[in-house]
Amino acid sequence: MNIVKLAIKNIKHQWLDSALSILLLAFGVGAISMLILVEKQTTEQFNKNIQDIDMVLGAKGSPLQLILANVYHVDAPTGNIKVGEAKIITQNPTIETAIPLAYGDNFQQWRIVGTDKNYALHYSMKLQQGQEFQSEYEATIGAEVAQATGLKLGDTFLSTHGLDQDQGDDEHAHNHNYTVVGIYEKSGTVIDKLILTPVETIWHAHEGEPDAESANPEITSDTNTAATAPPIMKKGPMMMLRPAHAPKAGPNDNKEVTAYLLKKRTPMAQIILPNLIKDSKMQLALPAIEINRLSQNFGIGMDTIQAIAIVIMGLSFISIFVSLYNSLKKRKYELALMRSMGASKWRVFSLIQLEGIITTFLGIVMGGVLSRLGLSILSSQLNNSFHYQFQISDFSLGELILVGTTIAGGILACAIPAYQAYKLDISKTLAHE
Amino acid sequence: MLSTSQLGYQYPNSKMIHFPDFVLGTNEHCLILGESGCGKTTLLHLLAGLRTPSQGEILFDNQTLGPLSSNDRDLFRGKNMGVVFQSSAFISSLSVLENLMMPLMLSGKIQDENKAKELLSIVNLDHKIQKPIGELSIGEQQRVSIIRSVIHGPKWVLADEPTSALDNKNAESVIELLTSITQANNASLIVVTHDHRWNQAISHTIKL
Repeated sequence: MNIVKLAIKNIKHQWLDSALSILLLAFGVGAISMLILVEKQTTEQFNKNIQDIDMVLGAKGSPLQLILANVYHVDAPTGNIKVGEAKIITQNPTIETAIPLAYGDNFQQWRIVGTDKNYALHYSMKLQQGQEFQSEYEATIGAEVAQATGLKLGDTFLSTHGLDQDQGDDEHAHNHNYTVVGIYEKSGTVIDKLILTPVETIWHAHEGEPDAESANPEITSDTNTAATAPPIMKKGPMMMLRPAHAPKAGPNDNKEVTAYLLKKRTPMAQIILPNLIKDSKMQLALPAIEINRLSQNFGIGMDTIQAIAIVIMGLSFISIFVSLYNSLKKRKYELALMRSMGASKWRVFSLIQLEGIITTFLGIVMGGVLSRLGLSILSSQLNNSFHYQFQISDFSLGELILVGTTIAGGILACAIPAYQAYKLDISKTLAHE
Repeated sequence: MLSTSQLGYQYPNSKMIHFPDFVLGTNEHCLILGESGCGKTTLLHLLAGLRTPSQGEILFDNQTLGPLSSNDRDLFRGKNMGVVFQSSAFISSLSVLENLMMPLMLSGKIQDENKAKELLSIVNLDHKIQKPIGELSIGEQQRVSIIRSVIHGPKWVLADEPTSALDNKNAESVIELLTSITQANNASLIVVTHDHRWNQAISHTIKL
C-alpha cells in the first residue's frame, strides 16, 4: 500500500462522482484538442498546397470556389475558360509560369486533371514508379489514388464523365482507355489524390460535345478570340507590362481549360492583371486572400466550439471540486484516523491533491482518445466527400499546453479541499465523529 | 514508561481541566475511569499527542512531544502508539488487509502481510483478509480495529470507551482480547472508560 494506490482506491470507491468529473473533463479536453488538431492540419494542408501559387485564373464566379476547386480540388469548378482568351494573362511578362488545369472526368471518384509537367514540378513530386505522362491517355497517378483504386503501373482504366461519379448529371463512360505510366510518391499535397494526364487528353475526350461556349459563333474562331480580348490600356507607364506584342494565335486557342495556376514574376502583376480581364468572362483570384477569408469564417465556428469546450472544462473542474469537497465531509473521520496513525498534515493534503490530479489525468487521457475518435470520424466523412483526411496520430504543441493548463486547473480545483484536509482538527473530529 | 505531571487542558472560553499525575511502567496496563464529560477523551488525546497540553507535560520514555515539529509528532505517534476508538473506524475504500497495512505504511514500517494474517487468525478472521472492510459485521470490525492498534508494534495502546456499547458477553471478549494481545505484543494498554466491567481485568486505575 502506498499513497498513490490509496488515492486510486479512493477514486474507485466513489466511482460515480469520479466518473462524472472524468467524463466532463474528457469531453472538454477532447473537443479542444480536436479543434487544435483540425486547425493545425488544415493550416498545414492549406499552406502546403498553396505554395507559390500567387493567383488562379478561371471563369467568373465565386473566387473562393475557384480556389477551392483548383488549388484544393474540393469544390466544383466555376466553369471553363478559353486557352486563347487566357493568353493575355498567361503570356503576360509579369507572369513567370502558368499551369493549365482541365477537369471533366473521374475514375472511381478520383479526379482526372489535364495539365502539363509544371504541375508536378511545382509540388516537387517524386516518382515512386514509372515516369511522367508523355502523350495523350497516359496517366501519372497520386499515391492515395494508387492505394485506393489498386491501379498499378501498366494498368488501363476508363474514365467517367463528371468530377465525382455521383455528381455528374449526364454520366457516361468515355470509351478510350487511359494507361497508368507512373505513380508518384506520397507528398501530402493534393496531387496524392489526383490522376494527372496531358491536357490534350481531356480536350480529346470531350471533342464534339455540345457546349454553350462553342455554340456562340463569335468566339469559335481563333481570330475572334483576339477580337474579344479585353481592351488593353493604350497609354501610361504600365504599357511596358503588357505583352510586347498581342499574344500569338495558336492551334489550341479555342480549347478550354478550367483554370491556370499562376506564379508571378513581379508584385505588379496583382495590380495590373485584374484590369486586363475586367470585361471578360474570366477572373483572377488570390489564394492567400480567399483562404484567409475562409479561415476567418471557419474561425467563428471554431471559436464557438472552443468556448463551449472551455465551459465544459470549467464545469468539470467545479465537479472535481464539489465531489472532493463533499467526499471530504464524509471522509473527515477517515483522514483524522490516518493522522492518528502517523500521517502528517502534508500526507493528507497530498492524498486529496493526488486524487484530484489522478482524476484530471484520467480525464485528459480519455479526452485524448475522444479527440482522436472524433478526428477519425470527421476524417472518414471528409474522405468520403472530398478525399481529405486528418492524421490521427498527430500531436501538437497546442495540446501540450492544453494538458499543462488542464493539470493546473485540476490542482487548483482540489486545492481548497486539500487545504481543508491539511487544517483538519483531528482531536475534534475523532471525539465527535 | 509514561508519566504525566501538572497536566491541564483549557478549551476556549471554559475552565482549565486538571488531570492527576500518574506513572505507568513499561508493559503496564492502566484504567482511566470517570463519568461522561470529565475530560477522559481529552486526556486520551493529550496522551496520544492529538492535542497539546495547555500546561504540564507528558514524558514518553523520558521524552516530551513539546519540542517536536508537527511532522515528527505525527510520526512519533504513528510509531509508538495504537489507538482503538469507541466506534471502529476504517478507510472504507480498502480491504481488511489494506486497512491493517495502513499503520505500517503511515509510520514507515515494513508492510508485513504475514503479521496481519497471524493476528487475524487469533480472532478467527483470517478467511476475510481480502474482503472490503465494509462487508464485515460491527463485531468483526471491532476485532480488526484492535488488531490494527498493535500490528505496528507500538509501546502504548490507547483505547477510548472500547466496550461501552457492548453487551456483557461481547464486552468480556473485547476486554480479553485487548489485554492479551497488548501483553503478547509488549505494549502498555491505557483504557479510558466509565465501564466498570474493566475493573477486574486491570487493577491500576486512575480516577478523574
